[in-house]
Amino acid sequence: MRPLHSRASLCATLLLAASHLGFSLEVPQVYKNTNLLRTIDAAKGYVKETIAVIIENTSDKPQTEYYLPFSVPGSSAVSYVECKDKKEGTPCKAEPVDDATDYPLKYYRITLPATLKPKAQVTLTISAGITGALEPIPAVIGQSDKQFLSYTGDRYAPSAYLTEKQKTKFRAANGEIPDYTDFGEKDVDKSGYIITYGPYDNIKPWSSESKAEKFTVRFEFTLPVIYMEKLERDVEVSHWGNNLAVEERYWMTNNGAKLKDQFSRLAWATTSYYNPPTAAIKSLLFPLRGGSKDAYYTDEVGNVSTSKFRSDSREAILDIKPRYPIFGGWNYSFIVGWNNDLPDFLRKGKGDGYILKVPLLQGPSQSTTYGSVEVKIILPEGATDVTYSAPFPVDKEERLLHKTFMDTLGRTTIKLTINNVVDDLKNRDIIVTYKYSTSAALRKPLVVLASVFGVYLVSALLTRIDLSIGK
Amino acid sequence: MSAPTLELWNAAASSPFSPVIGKSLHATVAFFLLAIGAVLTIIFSINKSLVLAPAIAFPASVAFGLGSVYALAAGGVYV
Repeated sequence: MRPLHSRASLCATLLLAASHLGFSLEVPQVYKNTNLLRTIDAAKGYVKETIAVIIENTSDKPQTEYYLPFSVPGSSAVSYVECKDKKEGTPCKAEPVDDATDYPLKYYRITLPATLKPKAQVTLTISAGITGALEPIPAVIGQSDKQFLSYTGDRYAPSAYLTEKQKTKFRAANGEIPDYTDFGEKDVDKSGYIITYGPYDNIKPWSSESKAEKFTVRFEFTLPVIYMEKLERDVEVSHWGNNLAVEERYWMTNNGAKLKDQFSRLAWATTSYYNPPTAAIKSLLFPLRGGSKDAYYTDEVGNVSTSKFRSDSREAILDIKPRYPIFGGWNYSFIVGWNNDLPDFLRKGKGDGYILKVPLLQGPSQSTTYGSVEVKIILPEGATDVTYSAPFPVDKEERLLHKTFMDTLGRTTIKLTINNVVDDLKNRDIIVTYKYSTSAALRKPLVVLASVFGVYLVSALLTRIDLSIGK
Repeated sequence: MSAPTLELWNAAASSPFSPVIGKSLHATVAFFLLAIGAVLTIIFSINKSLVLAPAIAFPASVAFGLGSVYALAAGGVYV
């Protein structure tokens, strides 16, 4: 059995390798982009690219799939892609194409909301979060110097189809833009913090022979570039305690320009009186759901007292101040947690069924990118038949038992790992359903009951043993 | 099993989770249950009859079982 199995897996691996070697993405030329407007928003610490495009089916057959590439050279990567029909608002599915032959392009296959008949048109709005595309220039700055970020992108929006008319708008974080590429063809317009390239007519589909014309914009960025290398988020449901406990463990880095010299506490204290914009992370604000309570903020040393927490039934805000300002290239890890009443998040379904609806990702209000997010939904011990629907694609799913206080078997847990996340995706709810019977709920008191009862029985018997020396 | 949807959540709007005992009562209930358990333990310790022993031990165990769960919840360990 074993040799056959290993031969089969070898064949599968070879076939997969062969398909990767020989495969180059051939996009059928069945559309043309009548008009395309690309907006590159760099107001946050990452890039949000929005493409509004009118597409026309130029073939004689109805079409459902449209291909769209994003240029992600070097360490940049696409975090998410979302698409909708601009007029109707109907969402459409966008999934990555497993092909790396057209580097630096990453293709997405978009399934149109409705079949597009020959000669018919549809307007799509496609938005994508792209991380790692902004680079601090200069890479090293002084403690109170201004920070500048630089973005380099394609002059023409990459497309798999002919684009009749297109324009690119670059939105910087503010109007302080010392450098931007001027192609000298009167196609660049700077107005406030927006730089417009185009309009350009009849741009051919992207091919490996395409002349790569790039534009670069360098702009001032007065905020820190917050990057969470890792976030571990635990959401724990307790039926007995009527509680939903959330704990988040962060490993944070400032990806902005690095600090040039040694940190001067004196200069920092002096300038903090007039609160100038700084590239260091001074504080983080966590907007929580209304009714959140018992918030805590700790790090490796222990409790950090420099935090404020205000809560009422409408909203709750946890405002934390790290022990030291986090400059470019500096790291800090910390833990925040809070409790909520369970009825706001849990509803009773049919029979023993329960429906849980909690945010998959919360995080600070400042713009943040995440390298890896691990979310653990810890359900009560004995919960079965767990299903869930995540608000955005999950890279890895694990089912495990989480053991903690008073557990005998361990609590039913689903662990979801999502890589390369941007904070556009936060505050979207995951819906989890599970079954939890009364007998499973009674397991905890029953275990204590049985052990205490055992102690009583043993003591009742032991006290009745006559250990006196016979007369 | 199919993935749950928002409609399922909305359909259950009229039946939010209702706990047996609310958070504000955890400490009180735990105190009374553990006190009952303690009193029954004292009675158990002075009891001479073997027949009566399980009759005292069982309610004491029930009181300790439930009491310990609520005592932990009252202390912030939501089991």
